[in-house]
Amino acid sequence: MITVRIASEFSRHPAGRFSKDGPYSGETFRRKFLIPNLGKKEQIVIELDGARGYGSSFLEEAFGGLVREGYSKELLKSTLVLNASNLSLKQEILEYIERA
Amino acid sequence: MIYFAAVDAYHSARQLVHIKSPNLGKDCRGKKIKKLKPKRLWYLRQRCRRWVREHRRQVQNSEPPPSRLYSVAIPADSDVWVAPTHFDIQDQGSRSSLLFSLHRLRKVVRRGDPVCLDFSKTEKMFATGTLLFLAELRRLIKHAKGEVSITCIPPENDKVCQVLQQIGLFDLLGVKNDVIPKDDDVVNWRFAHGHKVEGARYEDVLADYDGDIAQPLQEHLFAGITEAMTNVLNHAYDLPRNDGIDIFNSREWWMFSQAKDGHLSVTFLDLGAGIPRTLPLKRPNLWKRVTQFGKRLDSRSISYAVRDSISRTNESHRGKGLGQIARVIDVVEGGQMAIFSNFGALSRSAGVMRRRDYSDSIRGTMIYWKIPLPVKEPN
Repeated sequence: MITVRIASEFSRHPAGRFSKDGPYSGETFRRKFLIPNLGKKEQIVIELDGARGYGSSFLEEAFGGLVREGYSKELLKSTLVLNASNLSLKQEILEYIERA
Repeated sequence: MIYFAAVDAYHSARQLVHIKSPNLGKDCRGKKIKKLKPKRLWYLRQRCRRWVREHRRQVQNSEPPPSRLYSVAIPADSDVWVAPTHFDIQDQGSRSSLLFSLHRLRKVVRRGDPVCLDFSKTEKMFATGTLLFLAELRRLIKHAKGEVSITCIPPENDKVCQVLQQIGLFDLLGVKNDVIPKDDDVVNWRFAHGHKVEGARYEDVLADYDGDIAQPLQEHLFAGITEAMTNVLNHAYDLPRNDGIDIFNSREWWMFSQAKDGHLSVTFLDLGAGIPRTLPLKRPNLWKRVTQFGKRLDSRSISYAVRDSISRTNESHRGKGLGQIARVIDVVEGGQMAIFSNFGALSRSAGVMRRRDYSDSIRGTMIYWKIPLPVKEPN
């Protein structure tokens, strides 16, 4: 099992959709933290707490973008374990994966 | 009758010269006014214009009067740009005055003439109008590339002087001023400026309120602000601003926060093409719905864009940002939100949306959140 703590390992201020938007965008997070770990065929625990917040562009590009990259929705739902005290955040991410 | 002709000429010149209000209208009140023949009217209009021209020449040739509080030398060949009394974009009168002033300032800087900003008449500076002015000024300074001298006469109003010091205007223009911001409603002004989606800039304007704002509201505010930045990077500057300034695609944003009277207000601005102009390009299907019935009012475009973003389901993976911006205040009772874009405005409080259209455009988009702060118990 792999654990990714967004606030401490990526940024406390994740924001933006594409890499050109800013240093801690959804696309950057997907490429640096999600795609390399998905190749290891282990469960990935993503700790969402600790960051200032999450904009819809960041979350959609990070997680919905995985589906557009070719990962199946079923694989993502079974591999990604989302940990957040704000339950609506988990729901929002699952919706982005479902609707991508 | 001479009053009307004088007003006509007066309005065209008042932004660049000091003119004492002639009070000509007093004698006309309550009396029947005889209609003048066109020839006589033309003659009076010409006379007034001649008087304004002569007055303007006298002002330019004479030594500038020193400010009562400060002694600032105005370069002899400078145009004097008289700042409006109120910096505000919500009230129609103040908005027209500010936007007309900014139009004149752009014109002078475009011409390449040195200009002196005269704040001696300024009485009130609201966050919305002040942010717009500051952003426009920075844009003009960038356009001028150091070839146009821009200086200023500090205001006589102490509060206004403190505000200008706090937002860094004197430093920006290289004007020496020793005023130290001390009033509670001034020292709490925070300013940030950028051209990327930089979430860390949230700390510049809102870190001081960590203990005062509840966690869910902080998260919503962060999301709303960063979504506004993302919109600037991906949509706002896709079309030229058409203001005669040859800066295209700068993708800049400006932000203020201010705590006053128990409320925290956050103002976010871009000087892009505005939602009503980018909507046909970005969401053609929605634009068809906007223009299907009635006039193409800017407030209608903003309203459709926000409503569509809030209710967006399976249509596309993009376009949810505006809805998130509007919903920032949903987690707090008594919060207010407004989006001003070009001629239109949409405000939202207690789940109710209100539209408003103005007679002049801010040429950009401004987002405004107002949140009540908890009352602090005295120690």
